Amino acid sequence: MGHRLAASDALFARAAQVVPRGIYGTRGPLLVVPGSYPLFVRNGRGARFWDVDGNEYIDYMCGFGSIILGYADAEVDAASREAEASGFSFSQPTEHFVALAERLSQQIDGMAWALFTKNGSDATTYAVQVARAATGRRKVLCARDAYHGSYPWSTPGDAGLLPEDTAHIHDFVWNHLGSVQRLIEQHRGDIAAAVVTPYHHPAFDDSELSANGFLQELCRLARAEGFLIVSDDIRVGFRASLRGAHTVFDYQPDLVCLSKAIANGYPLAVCLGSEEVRRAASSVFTTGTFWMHHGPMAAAHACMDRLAASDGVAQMAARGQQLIDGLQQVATRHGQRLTITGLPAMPKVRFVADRDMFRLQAFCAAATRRGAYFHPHHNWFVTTAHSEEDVQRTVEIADAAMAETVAAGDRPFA
Amino acid sequence: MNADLIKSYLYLHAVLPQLTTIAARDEQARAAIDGRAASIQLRTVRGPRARLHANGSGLSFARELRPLPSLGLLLPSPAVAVRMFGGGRATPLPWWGLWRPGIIGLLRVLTGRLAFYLTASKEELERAACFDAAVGLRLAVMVYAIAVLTEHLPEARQAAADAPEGVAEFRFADGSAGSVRLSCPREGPMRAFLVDGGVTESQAAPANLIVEFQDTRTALGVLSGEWDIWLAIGQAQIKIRGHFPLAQTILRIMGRVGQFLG
Repeated sequence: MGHRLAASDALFARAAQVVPRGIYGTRGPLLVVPGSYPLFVRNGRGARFWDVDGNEYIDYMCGFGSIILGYADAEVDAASREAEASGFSFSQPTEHFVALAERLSQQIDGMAWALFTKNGSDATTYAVQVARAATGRRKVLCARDAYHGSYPWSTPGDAGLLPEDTAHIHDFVWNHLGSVQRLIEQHRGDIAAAVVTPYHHPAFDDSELSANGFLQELCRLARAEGFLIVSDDIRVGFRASLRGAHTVFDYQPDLVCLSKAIANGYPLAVCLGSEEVRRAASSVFTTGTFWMHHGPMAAAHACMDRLAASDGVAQMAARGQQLIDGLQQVATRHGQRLTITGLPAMPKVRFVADRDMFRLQAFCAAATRRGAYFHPHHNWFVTTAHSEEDVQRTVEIADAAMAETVAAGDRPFA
Repeated sequence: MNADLIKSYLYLHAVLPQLTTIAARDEQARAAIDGRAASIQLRTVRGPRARLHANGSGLSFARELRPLPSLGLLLPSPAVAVRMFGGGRATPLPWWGLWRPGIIGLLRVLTGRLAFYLTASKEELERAACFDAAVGLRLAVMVYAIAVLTEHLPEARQAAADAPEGVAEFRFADGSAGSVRLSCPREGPMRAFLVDGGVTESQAAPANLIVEFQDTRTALGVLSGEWDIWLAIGQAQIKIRGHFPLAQTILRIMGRVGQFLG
């Protein structure tokens, strides 16, 4: 098939000499299938990227969701370049800062102010501080296995942490109101916030929508008990709605965190809040040297313009559904059953009766070697740049990958 | 729990069980055991216990003591156990069987061979034509140590409690040095066991997670700390396939072993 990764592997060997783990965090090789996946990229355009060995991929990870219009989008890139041509990283913000805060405050339902950071972790951490400042309470409730960033209070890791870092963070079970109520009873009067995603999208497991009014009831409990709801909309974000995913999933947060796709890959995150928590937000000191960099803010304006003008949300949903339908047909043809959950633009795929994920890992690796970049342990992402032809080609690749996977037996070991 | 106590559990319950493999495969050890029946008990004050039983042709290991051993040794504290097994100066107190110097000699032969397999250089192991066996043994120590930590180190115990149920198999791509399994039950600590011809049916069930070393050289490099495990994973010299949440827990605990066992 001519899928070679020699240059990628050589770069990784160099990286491992000078970078912890070679590549750290979710981009590291542990979570994919080393030997089948490229570890270094050369360039990208639209829905495709090319690795350093020259292999071409139709991409379904898209910068872990940060790319929503496709790579190297001409309008977004031009907006950023134009802003930066006059200099950047000034000591004070530019007009882009105000204009983007005004726009997002109006656009994101129920929000009245915005504070910009660089990464989702910055935004969620700030939101938690605001909630604590607003309520004078300590406890934060999060759904078990939800990811809200890599700072000490939220990281899934454990090295280098103190027990105190997570002493006031408590897990509830998604869609299990009883587990929330138990925490409320245990910590009544001391809960500052519940941090929730618009729907549950844990690694290694199915995505799960709110069922039986779970989110609505959680919000009702929050109002009754005096704690805030933080919507971590960093991953779902503009793939559900330009007005905030809470408008689609019908709940009303006090704080909303956005990042990833808001600037089509340019580094930007934002925490938005309601009028009621504005004063608390002002009381929290936070800053970052690069947080007011206006290039990504100009990119965000252009990104939102493009998404609005092209009805990008609907477009991504349609392409995602085409992919889901195609994959299901492929699976059926090969005698397999897939469970595909989450938004169509963010499908989470697994095989039925494959608890240990051997088959999923083999299938995703086989597809990636053939040019459709499927992650075995994370939900995938579709962009507005994915065309019908791209998806059709992807389904053809999936068909060949499925044939290889099935031929390898129940527990293929790639 | 203090570090010496944890180390003493690691020496007695992760390292010492590997004597059974030595007794089965090493010529000098086999010759020392040949035709000899004896039981040797080690008792650490406020610490771990262990019993070795030679039955003339092989050796078995147990954590529980039985009355009237052939030789009973008392380790006055975990720190003494750590010094004794860690190559420092420490003498156990024989509380039973002092009059059986032959059995003391047997123990010396066995522990000497174990020390050789676990500490000899690559060149020495190659000269002795036991490189693959030694690496297999060192991997077994690591896997047993993970299980022991889930019994005695609170963070590891918690990690095991949160981990999914399943069995991980550690093996070599060419099958050169056997394999070791680590069982993570629904409740309680993990348990390690060697896989060989005598596995029970439940032990032989398909593993939920496979950690496969490309070869024994890769494994030695990683186990000795000479090679970065992440580099080995990134270059597919170690393949990890299957139940990743289980893998994450095991890797997390594995990272703690080096803090206690050099």
